[in-house]
Amino acid sequence: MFLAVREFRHARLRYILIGAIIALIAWLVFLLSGLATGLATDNGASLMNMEADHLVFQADVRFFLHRSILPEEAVEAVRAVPGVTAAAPLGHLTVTVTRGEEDEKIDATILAIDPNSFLAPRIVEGQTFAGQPAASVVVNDSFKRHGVRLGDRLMVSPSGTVLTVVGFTTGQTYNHLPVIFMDIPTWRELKFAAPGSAGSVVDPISAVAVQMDESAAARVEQDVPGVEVATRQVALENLPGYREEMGTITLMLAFLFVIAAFVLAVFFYILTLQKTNQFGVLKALGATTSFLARDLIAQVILLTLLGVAAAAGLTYVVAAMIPPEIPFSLDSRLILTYAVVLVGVGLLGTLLSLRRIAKIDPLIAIGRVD
Amino acid sequence: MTTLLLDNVTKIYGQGEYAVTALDGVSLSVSAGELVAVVGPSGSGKTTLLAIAGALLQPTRGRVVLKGQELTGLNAAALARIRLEHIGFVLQTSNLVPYLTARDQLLLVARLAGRIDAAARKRADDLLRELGLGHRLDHYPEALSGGERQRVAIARALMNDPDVLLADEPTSSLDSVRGREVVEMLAREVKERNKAAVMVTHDERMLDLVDRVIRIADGRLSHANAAAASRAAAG
Repeated sequence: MFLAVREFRHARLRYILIGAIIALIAWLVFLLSGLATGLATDNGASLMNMEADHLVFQADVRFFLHRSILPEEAVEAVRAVPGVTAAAPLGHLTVTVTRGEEDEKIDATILAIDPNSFLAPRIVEGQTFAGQPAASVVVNDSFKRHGVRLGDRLMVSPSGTVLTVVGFTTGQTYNHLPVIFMDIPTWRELKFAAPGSAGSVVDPISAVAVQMDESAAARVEQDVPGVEVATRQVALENLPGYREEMGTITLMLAFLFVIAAFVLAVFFYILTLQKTNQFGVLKALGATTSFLARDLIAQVILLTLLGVAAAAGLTYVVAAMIPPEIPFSLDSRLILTYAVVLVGVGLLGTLLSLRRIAKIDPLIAIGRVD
Repeated sequence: MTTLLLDNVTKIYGQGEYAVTALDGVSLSVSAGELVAVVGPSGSGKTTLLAIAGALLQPTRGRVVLKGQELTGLNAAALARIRLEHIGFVLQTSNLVPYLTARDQLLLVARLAGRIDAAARKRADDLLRELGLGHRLDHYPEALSGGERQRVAIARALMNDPDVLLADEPTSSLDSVRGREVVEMLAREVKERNKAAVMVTHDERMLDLVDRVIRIADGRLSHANAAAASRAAAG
């Protein structure tokens, strides 16, 4: 540290510039991570926030909620399995609605639930649809951006079924679409409007949401015929487009880490080469390689920490300015993880310089040997 | 009393038909309080001599003994320790650390040896004041003149209270007046602090300030006394 801080003080501009590059890379990492979290939330917030730890799907539909059909009696069958704490029916449908007489079409995901089950959404305005006339619904508050108010009527196209908004919930999106919560009977009318579209299934639902121990999952698959069990996380990863979105961003993040490692490695290696003679003098004075190595490591850690901290601050400022339509949300624990990885990557980049320092012969301090 | 002893030291660079003998059976002993000048043309082996005396280079044959301790066969870390505790180098002008102030150049030596405490701070300041740098304590090398830089280098060499002072062309980048001042200071410190010192130089004008002059040519030493050398320089 003795040399590190004094060198910072003396060559301020040089190290501010290197710190700025580190900060810019870290900033990009944090912004991408915010975008990844935002997209994941946008895609599957309803699943993420669901009070269920497992979902029971029809077998062989690759955990696609929109392709899964189960009879409602499956809920009872699942509930009867030892280790299951609670089970609730879930219906799914993607629709387009229009508000009143207007032309604006709003795409939405319908989630049909029993309003008395643990799947009931948190009401932030208005009330739940339990005990209300048929076709009463609770919608995500992002509908307000389209001008939807309490009591408004939404027409489902093309069937023409009219829904009445009685309440708003928040943070409920599925497949990047805002969620409309309704009861199971209303959903059945929409989903299975065509006769025979549910096949031979009596009282169809899409899936069963379950609260249970991990160990009960296998028993459910044994005891209930024709079902497959997924954890909530697996169901999330099987959302259409989820893997592709996350894969793209993960790849970009991976490249950024590699680039960060290279940039830092090159910077510090060039600085080390420039200081070869100095290191020779220091070794001649009695400095060991480990003393010089510790100093370089201290320098890199200080610089990356400062750069990463500045980037984190900047990221939170930008996050506050991003409009709500853009899926962006910061997960502080993830940011912290990436910050640690960046510092680690910086250290990895110094290995080249450390090797160089170890090789420097103190003999160069006294000029050419004749 | 002999502080530094080189006993029949030979250094050969390279192998086979490319082998070059830089030092050929050199013996030299330097006592405490004695300043010895090694003079010779470039290529004569004087830098190799200094490197071997300074524990920077191991001889091919022969022994180096510092304060009774044999240096032959020690590893790099042990040699670094020897340099830190027993040897003070006065290197060429450019060899101060550019981002350290005069005071920090000295404190670095204390830091390398352990902790920087109040005693080390006082010692650093006292040394710099003694060498006429009391007003330059917080100056970086770039703000110092050539002579001042060499005085900082002398103070730095004395910081760890070494047994041996080794000076490598200390006057090479100075005019004759400044160069003379630097060598005078070196000589004074050697006497006052009772150090054994070897100065490698090609500057004949300084030789009247040293106790003993040794000429080196083709890796072999020839001894001459200081008085004779200074007469030769004057004439």
